[in-house]
This record gives sequence, C-alpha cells and structure tokens, in this order.
Amino acid sequence: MTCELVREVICEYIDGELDIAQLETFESHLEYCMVCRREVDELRETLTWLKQAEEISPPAGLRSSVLNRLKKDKMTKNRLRFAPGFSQAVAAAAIFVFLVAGNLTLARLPAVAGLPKSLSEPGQNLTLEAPTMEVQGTDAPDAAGPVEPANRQGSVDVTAEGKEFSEDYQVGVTDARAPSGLRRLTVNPRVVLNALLLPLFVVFSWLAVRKKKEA
Amino acid sequence: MQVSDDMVLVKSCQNGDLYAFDTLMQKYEKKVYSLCYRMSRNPDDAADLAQEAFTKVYKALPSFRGQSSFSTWLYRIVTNTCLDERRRRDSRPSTVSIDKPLETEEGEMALTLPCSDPDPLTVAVNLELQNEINELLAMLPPDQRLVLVMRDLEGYSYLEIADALQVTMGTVKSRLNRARSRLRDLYLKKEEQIHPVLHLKEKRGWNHDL
Repeated sequence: MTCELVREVICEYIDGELDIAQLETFESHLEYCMVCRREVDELRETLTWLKQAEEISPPAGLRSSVLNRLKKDKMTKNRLRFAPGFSQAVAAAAIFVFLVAGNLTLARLPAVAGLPKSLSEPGQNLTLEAPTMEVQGTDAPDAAGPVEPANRQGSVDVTAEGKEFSEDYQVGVTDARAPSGLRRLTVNPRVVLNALLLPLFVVFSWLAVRKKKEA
Repeated sequence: MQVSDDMVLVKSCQNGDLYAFDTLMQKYEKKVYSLCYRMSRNPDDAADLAQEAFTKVYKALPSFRGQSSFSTWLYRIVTNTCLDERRRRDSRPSTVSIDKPLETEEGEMALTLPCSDPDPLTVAVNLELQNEINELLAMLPPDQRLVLVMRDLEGYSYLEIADALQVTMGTVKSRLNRARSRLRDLYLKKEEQIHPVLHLKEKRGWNHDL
C-alpha cells in the first residue's frame, strides 16, 4: 500500500470502517512509514480536540415560536379550506340569479321593450332607406333578399338562444347593398342577457366542479 | 426503542397533534440548533434557521413514511435549510457573511456552559475552547463542515450522511477526508501559535532545537 492509497482510506481507518484485509495492509504500512503514522496521530489528536465541542442550547422561545407559527398557518389553512371551487360556485350562483331575475324582469316588460317606438307600431318600416325589411309580421316585399321576417311574438327560449338570436335579432333593416353601407341593428335585450350570462354561468360552474375535484 | 418512540410521535404529528411535535422538537432542538449555529456562526441566524427547519419538518411530515430513521430525515431537512440559506446569502453580496462572528457571540455561547459547574475558571477555559472549536470549524467550506459535524460531532454513519445529504458514499468519504485534513492543519497552526517552542520541538524532533 502506498502513502497515497493510505491517505485515501485514512478516515475509514480512524472510523474503523476498513475490513480485516485492508486493516492489515494499512497497519503494516504504518509500521514502516513514519509520515503516515504521524498523519494518523495528528488526525486522532485533532478529532479528540474537536469532540470536546458541546451541543449548543437553543434560545428558550424556539419551540414556542415554531408552534405559534404552525398554529397561525393552520388557522389560515382552515379559513381557506372551503376555498377550492367555492368562489367559482358563488360566482356561478350569482350569475344564475342574475339570469333568472333578468329574464323574468324583461318578460314582464312589453314585448318591444328596448326597441325604438316606431318598431312597436305594426306596419312601420324601420328606416327610410330602401330596401327595407319589415318587422312585426308585415309581409312587404323584401328587396334585400331571402331574409325571413322575424316572429316578434315568439317567446325567448333560454336554451335556444342561438336560434332566438337569429330570430330575435330583429334585423329591422339589413341591406348590405345600401348606398351608405351602414347596418342598423336592433337587438332584443333578453337575447343579449342570455348570450352573455349563460356562457359565464357554464364556465364558472365547470371551474367550480373542476377545482373541487382537484382538491 | 428510540426509533419506535419517534415513529409513535411522528404518527401523532401526522394526525395534526402539535403537542407530539413539541415533544419531537424538545428531543432534537439542541442537535438542530447546534448544527444551525455551526453553519451560520450567528445565534440569531441559527435561531431563524432552526425555526424554519422545524416548520418545514412539520409540513413535510405527512410525506414521511419511515424509509429512513426520523433523525436522518430531520437532518436532511435541516442541512438543506442551512445550505439553501447559505446559497441565498451568497447570492446577495451586500449582506454580511453569516460566517462572520458577531459581538453577541460570547454572550450566547455562555448558554452552552453546564449550569451545574460553578467554577469560574473551568467555565472560562471551556468557553475559550468552545469558541476555538467553532472558529476553526467556520473556516472549513460549508459542505465539508457539514459532513465533519455530522460524522464527528453527531456520530452519523457514512451511509446516513450520504442519505441525508443525497450524495454518494464516495462523496461523503472524500469530503470527510478533506475536512479532517484541513481541520488538522488549522488545529496544528493554532497550537503552534499558542505553544510555539514546545509544539515545534515535539513536531520536528531534536534536530530542530529552537
């Protein structure tokens, strides 16, 4: 065994980690190598000195500080325990309330609520610009093309807002070929309400369920 | 017996029993604080580190399944906390090094003295010795110091140290070798300064008569 090899395993020798064969080789080297023997002695002396180190007492309040911190964390956690999905569910419920209340309120208003007064009078054209499309069941010729007259008496079906939209869109005047290029659209507020709130309601309900599942 | 006691306490902690955790802390707080102190060399930093480490331990307890002994697992968290803090401090050069001894050190060190020893001379000598040991330990690089403290002061096996520090046995051995060798140099240098003539005579033999 060379001095270099001895130094590699010197810690294991001091700690008694060498097997018998290694130990014999190591000790036979020490017998004739003074340098390595002195190295071992110095290391032993250093470790004996080091081992006089005492454990250091912590400050008195250490444990209570940790416990207080943990209690505080626990309380915060408890406060937030209902949180996963809760806020989304509240939002979804609020939207649902708005949806129902909005629809009920608008249903009580005259069917033409929100439309210009002229529109509520049967037989009136929406604008002066020709060609026009008639509303309120008038069967005037439609120069604009195959636009179906809207059925303004139909009730709004919440579940079919897409269809309602197309019907209730109440294209009073739609003329792509109008010289001014302008479109004048009148939209039923119930459709707007449903179109905005229903997707929101669905999204928040889905988020609430997903968060709850994740938690 | 000790291990099974720990496991009973750990189970209670996992069920949210803070009193059980207090008992565990009581058992290990000296070890934890000593390590934090030796890694930070500052009583205030050591207390902060120990608090942080214990908080982490409690939060991580639900994931502890007894793969290793509780003390090894605890030590792993404490050492990681100390090393993380060191890295964080090293990345902020404007702050004072946690290795730098503070003025308050002496007062805090008095806490380590045994209360039952009334002899002021013994107290003073012991205080001096403790300060010297901590001073020399602080001169070692943190990774070497950690292995040395775990092995020679806490008595962990090579395998336990490797497990706690998540390094190989070879790394533990080489760090320990370098740490002991460096500490020996520092120790001999210190001894030379304290007893120059005697020490050099002893070391170099009769050919170097001073």
